[in-house]
Amino acid sequence: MTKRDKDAEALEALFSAGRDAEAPREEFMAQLMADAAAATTQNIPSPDPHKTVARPSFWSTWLPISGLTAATCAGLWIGIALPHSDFGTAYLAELGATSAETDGFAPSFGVSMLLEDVE
Amino acid sequence: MSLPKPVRSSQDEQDAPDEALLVAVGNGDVRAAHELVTRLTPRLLSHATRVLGNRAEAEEAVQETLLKLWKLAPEWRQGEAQVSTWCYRVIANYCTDRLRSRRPAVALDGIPEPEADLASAVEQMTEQDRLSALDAALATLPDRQRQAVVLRHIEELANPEIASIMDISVEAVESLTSRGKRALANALKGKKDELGYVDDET
Repeated sequence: MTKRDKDAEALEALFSAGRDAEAPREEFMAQLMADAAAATTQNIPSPDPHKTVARPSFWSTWLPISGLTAATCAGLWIGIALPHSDFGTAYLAELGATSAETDGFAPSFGVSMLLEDVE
Repeated sequence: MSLPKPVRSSQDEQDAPDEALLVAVGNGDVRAAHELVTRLTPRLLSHATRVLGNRAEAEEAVQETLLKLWKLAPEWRQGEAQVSTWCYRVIANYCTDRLRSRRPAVALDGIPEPEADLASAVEQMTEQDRLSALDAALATLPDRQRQAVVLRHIEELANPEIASIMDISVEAVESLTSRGKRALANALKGKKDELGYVDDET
């Protein structure tokens, strides 16, 4: 074994002593654990007690609902009432339209005239 | 002062990688923090003790490093660095600052004098003498050499990781550790030369 090898071996023995150095003191570990617990609990997201959830106002709740109700009622009324109504044809007749022309706009009116003819 | 008992880590925490534990710490998981303390402290303390040559200062260095780690935990960016590498980097910088702020305390007089050659002298030393000799010899090295030698030969880290910790190239690490080892051997032989020992490798 050369001198250099012997030196390397001697150094390795010293390094090994460094690796096997004593373990951390118990009190020191306990202090580090306490530090860790204190710092980590600060990271827990907590709800803000001052923060209030905004409640929806009366109008923001009921206005869309009442609008929807009104539109539904209007649609229902148009669906039921207008097929038997002569409101549209009377208006067109007033403008000078013929029966045949008004049939295109109010089919139920034309059908009722045909039924009258059959009778 | 009575300190709280540490929360015992569960098997899941013992199996989890460092990074997963740190993310859990960021979410307020105390068990994860305690597991990291258990894993990192012995290595960081060993490093700081060998570099600073003073146990009390080394404990302070570890405490500061871990406090920085807890502070960083909520913003830790996964995949950017290993937790242990980050800790070594922080403690290495801390040690460098400490060493700069004081005069080098060379205590080679405390090393038992080699009788014939370095190998036989080390062989005759007790474990405690070896540790004292190592610390005293390390104290004679320049700061960067000392850190590189400790990281390579005592912490047994790979050269690329040391390069990352010290923010230098792998080649620079190799150069530092190689020169460091030579300087360490020479420091240990210093007393021997005074006794008339002639090193035959030259």
